[in-house]
Amino acid sequence: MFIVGLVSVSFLVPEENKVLKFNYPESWPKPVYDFESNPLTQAKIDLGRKLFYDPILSKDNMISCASCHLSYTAFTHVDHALSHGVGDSIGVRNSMSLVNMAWSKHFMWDGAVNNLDVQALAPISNEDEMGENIVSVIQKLQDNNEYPALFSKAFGVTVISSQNLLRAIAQFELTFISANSKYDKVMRGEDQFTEQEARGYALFKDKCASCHKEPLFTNGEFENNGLEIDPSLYDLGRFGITHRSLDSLKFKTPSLRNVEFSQPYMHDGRFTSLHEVMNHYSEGIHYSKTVSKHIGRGIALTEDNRVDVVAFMLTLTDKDFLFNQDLSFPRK
Amino acid sequence: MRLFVLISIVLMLPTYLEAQEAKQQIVISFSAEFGDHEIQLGEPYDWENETVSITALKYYISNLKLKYQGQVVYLDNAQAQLIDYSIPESKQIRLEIPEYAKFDEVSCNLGIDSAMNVSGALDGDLDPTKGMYWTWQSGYVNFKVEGFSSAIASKDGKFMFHLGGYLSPNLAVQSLNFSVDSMSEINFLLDLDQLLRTIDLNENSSVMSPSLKAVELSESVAQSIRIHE
Repeated sequence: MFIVGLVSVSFLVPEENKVLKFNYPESWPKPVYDFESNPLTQAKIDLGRKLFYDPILSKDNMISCASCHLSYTAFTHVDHALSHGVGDSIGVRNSMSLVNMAWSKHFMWDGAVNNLDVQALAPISNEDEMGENIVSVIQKLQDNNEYPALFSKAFGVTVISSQNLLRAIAQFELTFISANSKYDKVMRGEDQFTEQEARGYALFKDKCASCHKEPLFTNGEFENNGLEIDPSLYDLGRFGITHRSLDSLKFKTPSLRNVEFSQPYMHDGRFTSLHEVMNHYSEGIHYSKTVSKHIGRGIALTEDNRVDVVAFMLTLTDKDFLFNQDLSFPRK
Repeated sequence: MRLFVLISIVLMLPTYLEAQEAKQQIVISFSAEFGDHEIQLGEPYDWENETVSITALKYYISNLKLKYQGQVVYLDNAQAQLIDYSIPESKQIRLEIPEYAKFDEVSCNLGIDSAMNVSGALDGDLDPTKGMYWTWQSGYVNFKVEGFSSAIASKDGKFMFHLGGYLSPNLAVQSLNFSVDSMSEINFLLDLDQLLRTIDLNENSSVMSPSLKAVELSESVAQSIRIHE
């Protein structure tokens, strides 16, 4: 009878509230996100998606998460060196590409945020981004015609809490999985690199992969990659969080997945093309005490090598991810 | 039928016994004084040739334990309580312990430990809407005091100390341990007189982010708390 009871209860759970398995390639490392504290359901993911695309999160109801993180451009703001916010304000950093978030231990360029669940608090509250505060956002959502019912569907309560709001947004972001680029297909034996891409891959493994580690193409750490400090921004990166001199000028290693679409590059968006990036690593390193030991005074790459490495990086473009309709603006 | 009754009694017995176990109530209260006055938010106090008022005073108490001869006899399961001087009922924690349990020590954390600081979006008193969570970086403000002093020449005489930090070397949480004698009422008294003597407000009227200064001030706060006899 007990077994029958369980089966019938499970049968009664609506499809959208059933706990979903987080699927990812078998060869990948285990995610660091704690799915037990926030089990995925379709209703929560759908709610997070609506919130991600809704400017209601900003003070003037004009800026949404997607304003700076567009799905078609690897969830970043293409062509904008520094992110834009409410009232045409300009932030101090380039918006990051959002990809494979479940494997990230730190968030933001300086790792200011330690858990995906609380990440959204930062842009919501930043005066140059959404310029809002969480109490006011919750009030707006509670007074909205649609949200109380959507929160009830997802979490079983119509009273909206910051915890449920933040967890819903995190759930949607956890679905940003890019694992079907040409590189992935080659690794699975479903495709082949061209000769040039293969040369680029060999160089990449030798010269770049210590920081841009496969398969996520980031080591998840903070590195000083030898950029000369911009005196107008005077951004010391990780140092601003830890106040340790050994962290001065270090920034989070970004993933290179979909790098073809995520320009401009670097924390301040100073480079607009991958060739400029390659030239920086070969000839433009501004050496200081905290420069990554993997870079030193520069990475020796000939002109041809640089072209080959860029050819390889283009194999990290995942069109199934970029044009995934489940991740784009939710149309009714 | 008899068997059914017998099984029911056996099953119900622990619940029955538990309900019968007598409990003693322990009330832990939190107060703050200036001189000999229990502070009222916004009230001006004459102090050391200046006038000082406190407009906000909030802090977290977590990991509350009662011990007897070094062994834990009671552990509070609540994740943390926000003591907020603008909300009188928040200034008390009520515990129920077995009637004859003895204790000779009370201990707790002033603030939130590192593990809880990396646990994502929390609720209850740890909800970020309580105004004790930094947004531009992760982490709880363990202790917040704001007010005005006539000794501060600039910024309208306002001072603000938001003390916290969960990453070494800026770990700000403080452990409080006091000997007590199985009292049914324990009062933690924050001596603001003593605390403000450790800060030159004219030199340093605000600390708003994790830093060594925040750790140093957190230690001063802990040293300014005692059990009111």
